[in-house]
Amino acid sequence: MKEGHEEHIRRDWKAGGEEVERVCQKKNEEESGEMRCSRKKEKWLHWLGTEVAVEYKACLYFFVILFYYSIYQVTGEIYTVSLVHMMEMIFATYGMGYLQVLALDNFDEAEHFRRKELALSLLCAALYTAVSYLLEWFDREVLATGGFFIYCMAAYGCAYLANKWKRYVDTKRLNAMLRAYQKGEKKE
Amino acid sequence: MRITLQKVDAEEEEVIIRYREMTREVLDVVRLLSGGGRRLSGVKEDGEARYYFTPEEVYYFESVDGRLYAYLEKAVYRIRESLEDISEQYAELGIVRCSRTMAVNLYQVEWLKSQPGGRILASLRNGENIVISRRYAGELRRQLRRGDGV
Repeated sequence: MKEGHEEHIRRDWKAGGEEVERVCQKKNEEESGEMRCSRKKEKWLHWLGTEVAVEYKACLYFFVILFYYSIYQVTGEIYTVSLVHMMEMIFATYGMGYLQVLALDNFDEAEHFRRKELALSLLCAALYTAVSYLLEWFDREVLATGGFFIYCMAAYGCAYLANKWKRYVDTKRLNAMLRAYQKGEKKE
Repeated sequence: MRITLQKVDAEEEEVIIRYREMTREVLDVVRLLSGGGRRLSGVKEDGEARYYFTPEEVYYFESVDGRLYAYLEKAVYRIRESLEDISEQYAELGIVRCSRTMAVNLYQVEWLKSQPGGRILASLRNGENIVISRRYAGELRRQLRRGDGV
């Protein structure tokens, strides 16, 4: 046993209430520096988590948009995609990802799809459509652009359903693990 | 469980536990006999009398303004330990950190529900709901997968 540790126990045993409080207080003061580091680490982790969420959304919706764009190209008998358009798409999805995560409550991962979520998805679909029209992704064809708006709405609906189903499955699994844990069974 | 008692005269006192499977019940008996039953002590807000209770009785621990409180079924006690100490010392009793300021007793959880944003909602047996933050949700899952160390 180390000397410092022994001394701590002796004080604890002899003195009782007051002495123990002082020892505890000393320990708390030493910990405050650690707490500051811990808070910085938490802020960093929070920021990292937000960034990962944005990038995940950006990539997901980029491929969703790219799929529609590819179909549009193929129906026009064009078998190539413009790199400039692809770059515009990824920037658009990145910007929209930040908007969704930081300002729009991540509505496509919401628990319920009600008026607020519907309004936000209409807003985002409209923004994507406006960008596609301005940047001539679909040559400013009204039909194709209108179809793109409906496609974006459907994509948000699917994203909401997929996330909800994922959470439903996760909930079932969590509760099965909880029951097993409480019964004292070891799980691999 | 059948209990057999046998009086001895000179031999050393000994307890032999025969078990088919190391269940929680058997483990509790082992802990009790090996003197591993741990107790916490705390005071109510009036700060007068000191009360003793086991970690198993606690639903959750919460740190408020630098003080740690233990929430039992019918009472709340302020305790001296820190949240980190509680989570480390009583991890095998199901006490797991669920946020920066809280630790929950998994044996007092009625059900869990996956929430948006990677969070988990835990409903306790006393009707209270606790949100396990995304950061600690991973730790909770690891604890559940590990089992209770049996």
